[in-house]
Amino acid sequence: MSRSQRRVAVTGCYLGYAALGTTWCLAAGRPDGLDWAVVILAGVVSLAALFAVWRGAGGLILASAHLLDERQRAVRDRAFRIAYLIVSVVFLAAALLYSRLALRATAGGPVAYHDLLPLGIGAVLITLTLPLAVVAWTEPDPPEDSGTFTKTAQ
Amino acid sequence: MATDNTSPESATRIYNRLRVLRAERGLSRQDLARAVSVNYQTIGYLERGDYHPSLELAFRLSQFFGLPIEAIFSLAPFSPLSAALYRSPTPGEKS
Repeated sequence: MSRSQRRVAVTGCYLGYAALGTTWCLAAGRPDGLDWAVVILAGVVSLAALFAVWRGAGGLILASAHLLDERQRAVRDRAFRIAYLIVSVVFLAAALLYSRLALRATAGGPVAYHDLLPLGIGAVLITLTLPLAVVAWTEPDPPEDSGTFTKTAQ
Repeated sequence: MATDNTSPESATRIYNRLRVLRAERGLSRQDLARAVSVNYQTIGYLERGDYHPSLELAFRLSQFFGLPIEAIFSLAPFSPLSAALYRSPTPGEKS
């Protein structure tokens, strides 16, 4: 898979997450037929895109360290470093959003389940898939061929 | 400060002769990768300059080719081998 194809897959995956979470939030615990259709469609798109991302870059993330060479270990370490920074920002934003929702709720009482569910699921999905997405987004296109040469006569 | 070898755009460019040396010996990337214990794609990334080798990998490549490291890697672009082989000697220079 080329880097541009992987980037399309990563974008599709996270747009799917966003659409799913937003639709669920807007449904406010009472999703109708259209809401379910959007949620299911967004879920299918996200899963398909995640599968494509996995095919393009999954080997680096799950493999044991002793199976990777120095370059692959460096790529994976860098992906986890970048993912950690992004997840920190996302969790801070989620905490601020939760505070806002809690203020909106009656007398600072508990936030509605349907408001928290997409936040929680989104946070888990993002945490689990971000290192993979970083690798898929940043890795250059693989070398074009095996680079075979015919041995010249000596 | 640790250098991120996977981001050559922010680091010093390192030139190499890996492709030429492979061609001289009729080796595929898989052959060379097997010889120095890396993934064959890493050889491709090395050749393109998308990845800089660690000191250990540079030494393994040096040992495999039987050449000093500076004959394989350089901070300056290598001159074409044809120019080096067929360059006319300047007056007073040994041929």
